Parts: sequence; structure tokens; C-alpha cells
Amino acid sequence: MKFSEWNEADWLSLQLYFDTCILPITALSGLEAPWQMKHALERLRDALDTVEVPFKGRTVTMPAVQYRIADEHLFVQQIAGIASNCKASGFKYVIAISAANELLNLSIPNVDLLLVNPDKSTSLKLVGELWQKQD
Amino acid sequence: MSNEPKKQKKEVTRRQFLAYTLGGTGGFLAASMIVPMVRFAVDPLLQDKGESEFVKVIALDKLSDEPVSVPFKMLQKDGWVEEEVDLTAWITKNASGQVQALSPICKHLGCTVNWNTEKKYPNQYFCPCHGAHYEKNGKNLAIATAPLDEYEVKIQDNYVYLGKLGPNTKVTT
Repeated sequence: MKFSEWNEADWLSLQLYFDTCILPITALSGLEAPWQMKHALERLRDALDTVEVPFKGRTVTMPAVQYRIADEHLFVQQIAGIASNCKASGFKYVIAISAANELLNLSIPNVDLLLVNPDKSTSLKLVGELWQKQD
Repeated sequence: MSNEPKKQKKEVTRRQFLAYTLGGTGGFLAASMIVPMVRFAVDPLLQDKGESEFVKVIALDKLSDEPVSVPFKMLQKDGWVEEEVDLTAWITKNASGQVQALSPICKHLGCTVNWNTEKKYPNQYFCPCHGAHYEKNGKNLAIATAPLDEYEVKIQDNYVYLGKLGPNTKVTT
């Protein structure tokens, strides 16, 4: 479920079941034309659908990180910091999802799974494995 | 001279005439604006619902006792909004030819169930989120408190048509 679908009472009673946080990363540089940004967001939405729909009852999608810092080290630190905070707030797993191929080989501390442009079957397999491995 | 009392004529005063005329005209003008607006607002409620719409999804001869996941599109109306949504059903045909189409949405918290994917629960629907599992007819066995919903099914010209989603009719809880 998306963060915007929650209210306080529901969250307090159901938080136990929603142990996985999805962190969408658009990774825009700011140099894109408006239509390119639109396409980037559409691709991110498609990538998110591969996890949000089948795992709606265990995941909470957070607001996206829209822009990336040019310095890769700082960018990784930024995402790692957000993921760390998500875990400190009670989530057991953090899954980062992006449609930006530049993120393909990144290793981000505190992020349990990074999915870049995943298809449905890849997401089903990898998310399932993540939960099975650590449950 | 006559002693009969004078008959008083019932005359409408100028003040009354103006009040009636202006009131009537004002009321007519107000109604001519309000009635179409109210009619517009409640129009979806007044529409004849008729028979629910069915969508052709798969040939009957492609079905067996083993559930198959069938994607389809259906037009959904929500008041004024009409949109085509992507849906999926797990469809089976038993030995006597009876067809059942189940919703893949877990009745626990809404994840998507899959058929026969968990070694611990062979030949069952399994939810990867919290481990709810169901029998082939959708009967809930654990975690979930209700059986999987099912679509209305219609067979026509050897094709399966699916209609509205509703509570499971094959399972008694």
C-alpha cells in the first residue's frame, strides 16, 4: 500500500504485518526535458507495479527520491541514510526500486534489495527469496 | 332602501399581485436551475443496471482440473468514471465440466496468491506475504478468514465469460 493510503489508527493496528518498505528512486539529474521526466516517472511506476500489486498486503511504498546527487558516493550515502531511518521506524526490510539503469550496479548499505527495471517474474522471485531467506 | 349588507368584492391587492407574480417567477427560475443539476448529480443511481457485463476470457477446451491464471480486461464503472482495468482469475474446470474462476487477491491483506508455489502446501493457493493458503475451490485454510472470491461464470459457444466478482459460492464456512 502507498504511504498516502494510511491513517494513524489503521497503521497502529496493522503495522505488524507491513514489515517491508519500498523506496522508489526516480534518479533525475534535472537536465531532462519535461517529457523525459514524464517518461522516467512512467517507467518508475511500471517498475513499482511489479512489487506493489502482488505484495500489497506486506509493503508500504514511501514517497520517491526524485533527484540524484551527481557525486555517486554522496548519492549512495543519501539513500543508505533514508533506508536506515526506515528501519529505525520499524520496517524490517527496505526494497529500493528504480527505472534508472545508472543504478544497476550500485551497492547501497541498509537496502536489502535493489530492483532496477524489474519485470514481474523477477520481482516475484527476488522479493519472495528475500523474505524466505530472512523470515 | 335595502337593508341587506353590502357584499364585499374579493379583490387582489396590488401588493398581493406583485408578491404572487414575483414569487412564482422566482420559484420557476430557481427550479429550472436546480432540477437539472440534481438530475445530473444522481444520474448514475437512476441508470438501469440491467444484466451485469460479461467478458470473454478463454476457450473451454483449454481448461482442466489444474488452475490456470488467465489475465483479462474489464470495464469498471464508478459513478461517472469508466475505466478498463487489468484483472486476473484462476480458472478450473472439474470432471463434471463445472467451471470456477477465483480472484487471486488474498482475503487477509490483499496480496496476490499463486497456485502450487509453496512446497509445504502442494496443490494449494499460497500467499507469499503472510502464508495464507487455500484449497483449490478457494476455501481458506490458514491466516485468511474468508475464502477467495469468485467471478460469475457464463459458458457460451465453448468460451468462458466472466462477470462480477462476489463471495465464493462453492465454499461453506
